[in-house]
Amino acid sequence: MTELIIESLSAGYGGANIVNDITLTVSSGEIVTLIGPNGAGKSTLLKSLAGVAQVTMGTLNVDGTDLIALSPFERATQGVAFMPQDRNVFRTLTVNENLETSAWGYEDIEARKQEVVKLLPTLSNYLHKTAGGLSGGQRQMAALGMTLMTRPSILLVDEPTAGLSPNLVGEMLDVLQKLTRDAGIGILIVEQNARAALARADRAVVLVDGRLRRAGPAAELATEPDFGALFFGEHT
Amino acid sequence: MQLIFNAIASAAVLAPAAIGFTLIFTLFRYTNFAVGAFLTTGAFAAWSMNALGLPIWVGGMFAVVFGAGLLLASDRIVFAPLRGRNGGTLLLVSIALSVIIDNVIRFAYGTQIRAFDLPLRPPHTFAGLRFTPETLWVIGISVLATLLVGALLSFTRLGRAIRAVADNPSLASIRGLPVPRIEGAGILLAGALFGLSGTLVGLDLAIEPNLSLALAIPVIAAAIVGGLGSPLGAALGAVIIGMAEELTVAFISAPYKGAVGFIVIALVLLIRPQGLLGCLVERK
Repeated sequence: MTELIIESLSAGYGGANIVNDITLTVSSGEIVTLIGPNGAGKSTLLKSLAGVAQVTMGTLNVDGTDLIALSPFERATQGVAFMPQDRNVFRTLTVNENLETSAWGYEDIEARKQEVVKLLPTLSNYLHKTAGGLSGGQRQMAALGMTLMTRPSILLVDEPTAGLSPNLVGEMLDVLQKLTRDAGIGILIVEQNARAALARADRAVVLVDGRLRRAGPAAELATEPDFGALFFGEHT
Repeated sequence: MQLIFNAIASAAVLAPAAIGFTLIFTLFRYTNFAVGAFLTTGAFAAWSMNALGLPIWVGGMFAVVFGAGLLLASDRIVFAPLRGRNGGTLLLVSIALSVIIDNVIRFAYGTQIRAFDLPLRPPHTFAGLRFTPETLWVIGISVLATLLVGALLSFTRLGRAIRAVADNPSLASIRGLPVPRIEGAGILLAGALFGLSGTLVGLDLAIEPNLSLALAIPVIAAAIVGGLGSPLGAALGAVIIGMAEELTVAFISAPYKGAVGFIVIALVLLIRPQGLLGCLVERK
């Protein structure tokens, strides 16, 4: 059982903090969804965990290993992998080449690719298509496949449904849920479709103005009336 | 037919350099105007070995290694500290670098015209075509180099990594690719191609320090015509530029050959800015 432990973490860009004093855990086999209004710092938090944004304070470790000083790839080798929201595939490479390139430094690339295709079977339909010519849903699936090539225990997923049609939103989130069940992967997800994400998440964390405002079981938060008004535009 | 053959011979000289140029452009998104100076350096490097009594192929190998080293050194000293600056700044810096390299060559070798030590023999005639054995060597070596680079970029792990880094360096870093090392490999490959083209230039033309400008424009034009970012396009662009230059010599006048590159660049930018095989990219 892998656990990503974030304690009193502050992070941002160029020395300016966007998120402050965040304490949170993500365990393998669960989905934790990060929700909050635009500009709350959700993506920045995810990027700081991935090593893309700068952590200025706090601790971040997985199974006792301190991740702060590690590069994004070194974090991936420790089991924490990041799927960016956009520009998340190499457009001039085929999907097959994208997968292979995402396991740079590993010897058993073919075995890893087979595992990924088994987890995401639709990939086999367009393995030899150039990534630049994929539809939005296919591209996000390819990006997810690339992220899985390092066999992560914890996935950090930044808005995987951005720009997808409503029926594909559910499909993508179902795939992520399936990964927690079938592969035991823990997922921390930032998702604009809060209602759909909450329906599949185990826990939810609410971020407002860069600070953690609420945390709890997703099902409970989803039913709170003030929560609906804040995030879903529902009025009671 | 002779016209087409001459165009292919001209293209053969330009193609490796155009591929190297497009490689640098896709990796770092700037126009390295010093490409002509690097070719001239390659020609002088090969000539220096030949002047020592070594065969031309040894000179060519030396030029390839020297070209790779020189381009890497120029990147580390000049361009790496300016990484992230806009393309206009880097273009100006590359023009300055070109002037410096040209003057270093003048200082080292003088302004005297040089040539490889080749036996004087009459051209062969076959099916109505007149050609020298050197021209066949130039075409053969260029085609082989183009195919090898194409195979390297398409079928090898390093080639795929170079394409990935060229496409999205930030994602490449997230996915664990050693970006600086892969960029270094791309620079070495481009420099080697400049050295090779320089040697081919020496087989085709007289070797002198004033070659730089005359070489830079057609090489850049070939890369633009083919579509910046496409090695195959660069090779195809070289054929088109070669053909345009030969037509100019045949039907207008040889002195106007130098203007062909400028005219073709202008036409391509007006009609099809992405070139023949390039892709349109969104400006962010």
